[in-house]
Amino acid sequence: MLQKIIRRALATVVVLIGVSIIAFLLVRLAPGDPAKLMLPDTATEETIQAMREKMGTDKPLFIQYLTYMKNVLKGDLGTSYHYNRSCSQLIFSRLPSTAKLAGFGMLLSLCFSIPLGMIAGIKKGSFIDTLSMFFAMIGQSMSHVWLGLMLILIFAVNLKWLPSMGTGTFKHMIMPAIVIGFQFSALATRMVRSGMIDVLQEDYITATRAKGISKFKVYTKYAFKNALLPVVTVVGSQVGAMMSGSMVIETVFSWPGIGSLTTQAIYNRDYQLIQSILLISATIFVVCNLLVDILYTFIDPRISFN
Amino acid sequence: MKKVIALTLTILMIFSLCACGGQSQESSNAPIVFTYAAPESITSLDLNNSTFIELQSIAALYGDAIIKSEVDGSYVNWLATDISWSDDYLTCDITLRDNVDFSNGKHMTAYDYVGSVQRILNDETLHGYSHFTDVESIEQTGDYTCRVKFKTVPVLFNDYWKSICVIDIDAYNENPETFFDAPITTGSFTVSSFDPVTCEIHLTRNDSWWGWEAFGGQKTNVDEIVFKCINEDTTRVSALRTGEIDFAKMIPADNVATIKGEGFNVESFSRNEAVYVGLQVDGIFQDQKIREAFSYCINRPLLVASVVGGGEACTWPCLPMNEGFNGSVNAYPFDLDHAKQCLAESSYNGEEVNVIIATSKITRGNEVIQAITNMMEAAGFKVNVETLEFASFADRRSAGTYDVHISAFTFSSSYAELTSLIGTDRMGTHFLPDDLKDVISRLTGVGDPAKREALCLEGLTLVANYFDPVVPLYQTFEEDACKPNITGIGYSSAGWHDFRYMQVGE
Repeated sequence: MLQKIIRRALATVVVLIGVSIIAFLLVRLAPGDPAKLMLPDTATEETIQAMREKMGTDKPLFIQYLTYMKNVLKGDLGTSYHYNRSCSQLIFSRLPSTAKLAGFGMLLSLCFSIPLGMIAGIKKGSFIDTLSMFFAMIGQSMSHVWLGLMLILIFAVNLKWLPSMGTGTFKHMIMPAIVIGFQFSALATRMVRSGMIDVLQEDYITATRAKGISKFKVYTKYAFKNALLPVVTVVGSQVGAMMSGSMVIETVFSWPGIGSLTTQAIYNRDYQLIQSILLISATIFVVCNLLVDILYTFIDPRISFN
Repeated sequence: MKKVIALTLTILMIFSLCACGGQSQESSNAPIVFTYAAPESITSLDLNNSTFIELQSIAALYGDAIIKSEVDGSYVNWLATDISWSDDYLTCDITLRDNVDFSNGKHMTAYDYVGSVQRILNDETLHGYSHFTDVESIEQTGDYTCRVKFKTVPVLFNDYWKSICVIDIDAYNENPETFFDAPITTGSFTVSSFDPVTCEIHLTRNDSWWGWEAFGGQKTNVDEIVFKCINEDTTRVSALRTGEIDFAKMIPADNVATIKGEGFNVESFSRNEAVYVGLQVDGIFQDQKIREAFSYCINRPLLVASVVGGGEACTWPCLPMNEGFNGSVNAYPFDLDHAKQCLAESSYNGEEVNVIIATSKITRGNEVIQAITNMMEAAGFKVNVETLEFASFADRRSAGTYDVHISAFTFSSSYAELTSLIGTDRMGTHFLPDDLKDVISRLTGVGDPAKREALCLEGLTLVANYFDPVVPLYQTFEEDACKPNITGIGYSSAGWHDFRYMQVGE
């Protein structure tokens, strides 16, 4: 198993090199000159050219990429010219905020969706099942922006129960975590429900009931574990996505995370920062997927790491 | 039993009353904190290394320059007691105040001022350097005097030199990387903390600031000012309504009635910024008749009144506060019949007019472009609109790959407009006729204000007659809201605020 993990890790390096090339090319293909954006409209052409030389964007693409990768291998993700700070400092100072929000959002959504999905699967065709599917449909089609603004209006402005923006206390996390986890909870509810329905039709479930094992134990210990596998897959990719930060949610709630940093970097054509964020995000994704694959082997021993 | 219960309740009531009394006594001594929010993410406190408008409000608090811009746009000597010029306007002698100390107690001298300027001239800043390429040298000539030599006449001296805050240059040289996280300056407030992650800035009042007595203003009773960045308009308004902030910059027009109804003060003021149009002359708009038709078909007063909800319709290619403004002429009237006639007499054959716009730069940009499109079509134009993100828009604009571009620009100076924008074709219109070029070359480097005024008027008259390369539509406005117990805030047309003398009531 350890050898296989090492082989996966080496494959990850190849994936990340590919991501770095794509990220590098994509940001430079987008229209917009970062040097011009940094300077006022009245700046002369000579000043703009001097800025390009300072940023290194006047050099051939190949040289720019090699310089960037050489620094990355030394642990230097470059300097953001817009923020005038190192990219690693910017990203890693915001990563804990995003991780907190992602973690709490995931916890909320799982705590809500798993019980709801289980009950819906067990009581298929009932009112609860209909309600859970209605919730799933709403959750997957509702706009994050609208939901966030409605929560602010109701719970912050009208009821004054929660703060409308910012960070600092547990209360600040509640609304953005609900929004960030809302869409995933809708998806997870559907997956748990369909997983439970499939598993409950299996012969071994009938056999466990025939043995006299209680319904609760059958549903939680025997059925749910097997219904969990598809959810674990989705959780893995969703954690990676949440850790990359939600640009919309972080902007609405003024949450100082990776998402809002990415938004600013793109607007300002901050090449170094965009590339670094993409590289870090890709690394997080890959690591999450690797962890999910390892987790599979514990949930279902029949599945080998291959 | 009943007596015991009654006694217990009485004792509890007495204790709770005592506790209430204690709290109110403490709150009257609590520091007064003023929190305000703007949609800009301020990521650096170095005014010469960034393009944030809101940073000017922060810099006005923590720093002092040799001159100060008043909220009405005029300039006064500030750290300088005297600024004298040579006859050719190429040498400037500056005399500084001798009673100014930095926030760390060090006494300010010309050495610090020269170092503060030299930092910019040495290209240690990315942004500020572009404004000071005309400086040849600066040297200290006495404890409180220095001399600046220029390569060309610095016509925009006031505009640019007001942004050089004097810093403790020795402290800066010791630690240039982190100096601007808590800059050591001479201002009315001191930066006590700056978090570049949350973009939150805390400033503490400097009771020993030289300026409290110098200009007769009443010292603010605010002990601490906190700046927060809230990008989303609705969230910013919500934060004001919940009491999390005391002042919100740039309230959307849709929310003004609600905010006023809840008792907040809303200040509406014109900005030195205008939404304008540039017409590219390599294609359809080569014919002046077509340009004239375009200008006449746009109903500027209607845009202001019904679409934008505020501001002023432009009547001249510059704003009323700028040099060369001719208030007796409306160069941009609305006349749809005249527009149709011009179009009919022109070489226009129904070609599609490609309009590019960066709606993020214009308040209610989507509604504005929709209204302009309708007005153009009413005149007979066939219109295709591309709504672009600003970076892409800036690229297309400077490359000239458009027929019409619409954006907003800060018209802080007619001199800059003519020499830097129009004279260098920064907007990509490819329009610079010989007579306009001649006026611009005669204007460049003119130090005499009267002569400059006359040349600006001559140049802008040509721009108005040609209907290019700048066709302003309307002057923008801004609406800010604050709690009703706050007074004394200064509002500048440049978009920054003077919080130094504000008072927070009960």
